Amino acid sequence: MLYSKNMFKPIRPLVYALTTTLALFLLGSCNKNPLSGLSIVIDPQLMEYTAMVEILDAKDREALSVLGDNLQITFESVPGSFPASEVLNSNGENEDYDIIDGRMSIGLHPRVSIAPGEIKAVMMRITADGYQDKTTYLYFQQSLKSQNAFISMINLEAPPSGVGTSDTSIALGSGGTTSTAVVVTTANFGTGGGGGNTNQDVEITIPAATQFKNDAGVVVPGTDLKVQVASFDARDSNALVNFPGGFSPNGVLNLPGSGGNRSDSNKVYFQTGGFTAVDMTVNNEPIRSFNQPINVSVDVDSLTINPNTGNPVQVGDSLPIWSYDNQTAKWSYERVGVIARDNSGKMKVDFLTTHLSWFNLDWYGIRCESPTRLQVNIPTLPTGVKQYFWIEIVHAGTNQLVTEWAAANNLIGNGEIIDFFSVPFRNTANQLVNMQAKIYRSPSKTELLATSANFNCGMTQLVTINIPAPPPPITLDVTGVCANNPLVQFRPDFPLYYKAANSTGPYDYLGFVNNGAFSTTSLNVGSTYKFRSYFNGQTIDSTMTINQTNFNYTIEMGSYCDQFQGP
Amino acid sequence: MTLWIGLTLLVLSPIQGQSQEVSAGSNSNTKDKAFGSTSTHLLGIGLHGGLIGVGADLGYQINPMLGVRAKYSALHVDAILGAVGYEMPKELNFSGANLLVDVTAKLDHADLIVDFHPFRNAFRLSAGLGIFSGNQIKVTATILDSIEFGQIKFTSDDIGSLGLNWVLNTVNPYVGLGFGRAAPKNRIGCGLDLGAYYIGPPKPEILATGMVKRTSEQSATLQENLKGFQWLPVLSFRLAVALF
Repeated sequence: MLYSKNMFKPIRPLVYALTTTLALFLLGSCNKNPLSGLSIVIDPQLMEYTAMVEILDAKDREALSVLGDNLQITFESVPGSFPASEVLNSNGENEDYDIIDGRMSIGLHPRVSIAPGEIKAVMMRITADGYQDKTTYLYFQQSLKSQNAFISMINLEAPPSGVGTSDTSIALGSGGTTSTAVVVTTANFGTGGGGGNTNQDVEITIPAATQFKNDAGVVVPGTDLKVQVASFDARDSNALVNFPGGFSPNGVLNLPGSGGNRSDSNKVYFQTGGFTAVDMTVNNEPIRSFNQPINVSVDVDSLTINPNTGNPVQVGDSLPIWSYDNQTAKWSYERVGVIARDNSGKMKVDFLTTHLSWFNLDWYGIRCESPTRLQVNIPTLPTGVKQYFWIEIVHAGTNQLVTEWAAANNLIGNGEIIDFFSVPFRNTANQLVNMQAKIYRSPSKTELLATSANFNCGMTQLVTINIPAPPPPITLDVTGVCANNPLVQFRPDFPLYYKAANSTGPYDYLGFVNNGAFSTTSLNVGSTYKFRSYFNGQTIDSTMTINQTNFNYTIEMGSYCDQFQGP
Repeated sequence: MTLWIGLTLLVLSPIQGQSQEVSAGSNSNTKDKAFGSTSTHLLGIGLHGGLIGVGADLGYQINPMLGVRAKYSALHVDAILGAVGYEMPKELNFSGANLLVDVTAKLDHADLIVDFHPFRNAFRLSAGLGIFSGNQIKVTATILDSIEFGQIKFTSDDIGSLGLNWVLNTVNPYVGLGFGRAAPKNRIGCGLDLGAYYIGPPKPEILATGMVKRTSEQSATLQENLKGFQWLPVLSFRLAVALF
């Protein structure tokens, strides 16, 4: 026998001790709370497409306010796009859009879907006391889910450069009729307004015995005629941003050819040679038409390039005339104007009209159906680091945007490719349209960093930005917490603005905090900044010295927690 | 050291024990002699059940101090829940919220265990390997209610689900102690296993979709919290029948 029955008897206590140790180990192995440090992280994903719309005075860039300027904004649907009711405020409602510091945070209902390459829009009507009414569009693309849109409003008494205004009161005779011919011009400061546009004045001549009709076509019998005229310089980017409806209109009427019913009328682009807005009221009632034609004379800047010839405009050149219906937000082809020279040597286009609107001297053509790409090389930007740049695609040799959605604050890294859709393809002379990319320092366009070579529809154009190596990126990690539910965390989305701590100027756009995460190279370590953000209809301010490169920031979510009670 | 020498001798002993068995043929007296007076059977089959499943096993008592068992156990928690009226997935109300809960827990495993009877009685120390092939513990909960935020109505899919998925290592060593022989001393015998598999630091993954999908980024935190939980406890009862 190999074994004695009691061979291991001496170690029996050891066996039992081992057993006890094992049992204790098993118990001890789970002595830590498995849920320690864990929480349910909620990313509300309220709206996939968001925009911070900033409404500014076109001249001094001051924010307009609801209280001070009676600022009012309404949204209207654009055919082929989503209903305007899908535009929501930060509380998810399609009414009561909060405007704080001239900024309005909106988003699209999550059920709005936008396919790659598709551009959807909503129309905005903006009014403010003392400012020209504005109709503009907000464009949404899949590649730009969080955008910062700037809308410049023209103060009729203090217009920006490139914009001339005239605000004139005229006494009408009995029956609301002009007793003599009336001439109103933006060149005459004495008629009120300002003369920011010295290159392209507009003159309106209303003949004697003119009667003024309202929207219903009925003569308005008042005696107090007010005439507002605004002229816009086709070569000044401050003026061009006011072009109503955008240079890629959502369909035009009466496009020449096929009896004005061309199938490609929704693919038109404009290249303007100047535009003007004429508004009239009689006894405060808006006027839409006249019993006889009035004459509109629009100056043409002699330095404007005729895109069909590639040379500065000449006397005898053709320039199509378009009118804009504020109600339908559609441009309608009127006729071809011909450039003539007046007695003072200025080039101009004269035309007669029986109705009021915006008038536009625009060359036009057909838009590109392929994406046109810009590859941006920024050799000094380290791999993985992105920076905001304001990028515009303009007609070659000009400052004129090819389309409104070809101008945006882009967050890009070295070598990144940006797609641009529906840029111009060919003009009416069937020539390929030459374009250039202009890249500015963000957020303001104060410094032009690079201009690309010319390119055309469908090309991939390379452009290099030579900037000093940026400071190390500062990262921010924002966690929203609920005092009444510590198990729940939020990862909020909101825009972030900043300025130097000693600055008295407005806050500049720093970027968009996405899912609580943010990174920027616009802040310098050692400097102190003031930050402002807008969230859930509230303004959140803070002052912070950048003494590290990683910040963790916790904010109490307040009423947000009530909406998303955790388990 | 004494213990290891003893174990080494035990590993060598089956050959000798088997040769004795072969030479003894069917003479049970010879077997009794070989095993002393503590064991009368060589082979037994059993049914067992406990914390991590129920199953069957086959035991071979090599000598009075050493036995081996091959076990197969199955644990399907969802089937158990279904049997008691909680067929998965199941709608439950939790803190006022309607949840769809789904549990899939499958811990089927095969074991090869060596039993060492240091006192030549029923008490034994056991060690072995468990093969957990295709095992998975998965629990998910989905909120069935919708949430309204202004004009936006978030559906159950938008809100998403939370859950946990845990797959054990395929091979896990086992240590433990217990009572009972691989082949019972009498025709029918009982046994008890108390021990644990060494499963290493658990690597459960948090499953999250929809609004709460970023919760899944905390899997590493959960794994850190659980890294001390490296033993899977075993408590199992056995009913065995001696074959010969």
